[in-house]
Amino acid sequence: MHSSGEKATVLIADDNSVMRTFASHVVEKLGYGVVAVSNGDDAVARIEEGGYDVLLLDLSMPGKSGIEVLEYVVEHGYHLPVVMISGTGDIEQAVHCIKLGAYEYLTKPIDTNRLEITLKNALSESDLKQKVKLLTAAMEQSPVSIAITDTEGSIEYVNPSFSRNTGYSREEAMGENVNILKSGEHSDAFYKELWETITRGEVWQGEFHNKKKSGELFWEQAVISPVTIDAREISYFLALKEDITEQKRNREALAESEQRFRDLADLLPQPVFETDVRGNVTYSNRAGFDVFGYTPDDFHNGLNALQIYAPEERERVRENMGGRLSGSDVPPNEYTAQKKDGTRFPVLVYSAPIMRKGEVAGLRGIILDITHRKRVEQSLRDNQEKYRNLFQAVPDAVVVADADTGAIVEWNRTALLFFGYSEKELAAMNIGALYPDDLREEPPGYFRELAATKNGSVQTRIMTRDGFLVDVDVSTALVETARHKRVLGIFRDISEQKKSEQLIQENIRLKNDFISNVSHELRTPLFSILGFSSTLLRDRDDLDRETVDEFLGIIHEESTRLASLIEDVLTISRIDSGKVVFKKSPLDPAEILGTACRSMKIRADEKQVDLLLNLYGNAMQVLADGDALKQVAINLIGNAIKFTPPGGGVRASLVTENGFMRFSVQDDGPGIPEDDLEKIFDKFYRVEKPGEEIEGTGLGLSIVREIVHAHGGSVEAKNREGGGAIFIVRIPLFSSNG
Amino acid sequence: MEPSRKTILVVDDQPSTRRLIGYALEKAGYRVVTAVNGLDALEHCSRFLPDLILCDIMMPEMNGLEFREKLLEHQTLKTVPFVFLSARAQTEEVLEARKLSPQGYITKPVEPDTILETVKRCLA
Repeated sequence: MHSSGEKATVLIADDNSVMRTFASHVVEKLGYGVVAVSNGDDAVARIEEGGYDVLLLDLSMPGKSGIEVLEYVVEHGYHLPVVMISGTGDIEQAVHCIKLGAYEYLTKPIDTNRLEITLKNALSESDLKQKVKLLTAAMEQSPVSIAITDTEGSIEYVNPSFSRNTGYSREEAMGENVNILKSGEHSDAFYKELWETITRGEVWQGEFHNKKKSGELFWEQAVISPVTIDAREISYFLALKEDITEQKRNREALAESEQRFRDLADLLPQPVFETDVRGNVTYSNRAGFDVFGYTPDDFHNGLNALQIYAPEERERVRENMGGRLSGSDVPPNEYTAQKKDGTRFPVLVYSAPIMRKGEVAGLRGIILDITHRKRVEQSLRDNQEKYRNLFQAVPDAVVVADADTGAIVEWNRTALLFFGYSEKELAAMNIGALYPDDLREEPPGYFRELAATKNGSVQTRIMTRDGFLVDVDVSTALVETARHKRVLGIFRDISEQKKSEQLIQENIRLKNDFISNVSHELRTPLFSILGFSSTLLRDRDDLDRETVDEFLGIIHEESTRLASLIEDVLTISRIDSGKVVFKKSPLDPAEILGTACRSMKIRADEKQVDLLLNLYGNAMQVLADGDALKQVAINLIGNAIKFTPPGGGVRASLVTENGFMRFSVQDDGPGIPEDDLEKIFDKFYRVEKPGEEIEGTGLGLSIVREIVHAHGGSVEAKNREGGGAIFIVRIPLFSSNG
Repeated sequence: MEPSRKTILVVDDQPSTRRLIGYALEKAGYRVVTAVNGLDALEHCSRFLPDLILCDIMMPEMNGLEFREKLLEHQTLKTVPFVFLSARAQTEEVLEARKLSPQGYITKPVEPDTILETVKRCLA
């Protein structure tokens, strides 16, 4: 077969050389190529080689005859027009050849003109046949369904794809109208528009919902074009159709799935978004618009994801988005988001890259509003802070230890000060190490007991870093969290409390002693008064005057003693309650003290104690309450006489010394134990030796001290070398110029 | 000194007490010797044996309880009737005194007649 532009080649097979030369000449003159052979076998060999467009074949040749070659060509389907040349002109033979498939039958002698026309026609017919064959094959083998109808819609041709798609075989379809495919799914207007388009001579494109022979509906994408022949009126319609049922189904499924995603996304209360690789928002669910306040218009005008964050956050957002787009594993991030109206709120953003064809095409994510969570976190932090402050502010030492091991885990500032350890030391210690050796266990028993039971309190004793033992009251509480079981101990220093308890006990004892002493001292004179008065009442007629006077004298003396005792008690009570008011005036102490000392002379004589006075060495003045000053002298001298054995002496002296009046009383008594020198001025305090009791209220020296202090002075007691005690009172001298 | 008169030793640091009891006992016919404290009384006892001792508790030098204990150590003196006469009312001391002196314990203040009755009962 030749193709256009290529020279056609004619194969000549004839045993007559003259005939070969003649025919070759004619062919060459026509511009065709020529190959000539002299027998049938050579002809077959050439045909098998191919490349010939017409065969000029002599009927009678040696070897294979012309008939046999013709039969060979036809049987093997060569598209090669064969022109037979006969010398006989036998009609039957000619008919036989034509029937076999020869193109023409020529009789010798050959007319040049006739040969030329025959060759030309054979060549062109061969071409056309080839074209039709090609087109037919193309249509037959096309995967596209093809139908050709006449102008009425009557089917004239369908290809195998049509049959495959519709279920109608070619034989069944031929002559039927195309409306056998109508499903009734399309409106009349649809078909009307179609027919109007194609009858106008235009191409119609569209989708048919058609019905197969089986009744099953299917979708076809169709292109229908009118076909005109020789540029005259429309003779046929050509429909090219493709079954798109599957495709359409997939498309619908895709649309449905997308719709489902969108519906779901719109149901979510949190914004869901998609962006392209540059961060432009390509999708947002309804919540996205609602939460951020943007409208679909803003969205269509272009909105970058960065715009929904506070300006100061954008650099960080950009970095994280970049990281995620490049495939890094970026954890969810917290940001401050910003609404269109500028309102800010905290968010947590989860996002993941959108993959298309293995490439990152953007980001998809969800934005959680964490305002509430942040608020809860903040209030939790506030609470923690509050309790931490409280913990630190507690004035007691607080130590927290692990309930199982006793290891110290927390403490407040007071604990550091109280126990004296540094933070570092405490952190490495067990609670047991805070206790003295005899209580030391790790952890202590009560601690373990508590850890097993409940809150409680215990009085115990701790040891500070410096080894001081401190009485404490430990209030404990078991604090259990999901992670820890701990014991919190509040250590309160109760040593002061204990001391004051002891003091109270001591006071009670002193008070009891005082009452006992007072009652003894009251009873003794009372006994005499009672005894002598009842004696006088009964025996007065028998008694001589002298004895009556003596008894009355004793009654008087004892009454006086009783009165002074009562006065002492009242004085100390008044001093105790702070009700004493001293009426001070400038006076010469020598006068006052002299009077007082002389009044003690009787007592001294009675006890055979020598009372020596040395009061007038210096002239001086003090600002004092005279009665109080007298009381000082009486008490001190009375005290001295009391402790001085008969035959001993008591010496009182008054001098000035460094701007002070110095009044001293010394005795020949046993002296004062060194330990008691300070204490003897305490109320109710009595120096007692085993097996010896000294009468008195225990108030005398106490009263002295109170009075002296009230005059801005001091009093001290000392032991004299060589025995005896000396009491020294100092009161500032008064000077009239100030 | 009449041989029939009983001698009573009165021990008290208070002169008025000694005088009062001395008067009352002498008037009742007893012979009275006084001492100012336990030590003084012990000295008297070394010179003569009293028929009864009337003793205060709270005294300097040697108090009544100590004095009584000393007497109880002595073969003869411990048999001498002994009466405490004290203004002390503290329970422990009273208990101690009663233990040391089962014969009597008199609390001051008291009527002289009560003392006389106790003395008579102890000497009977």
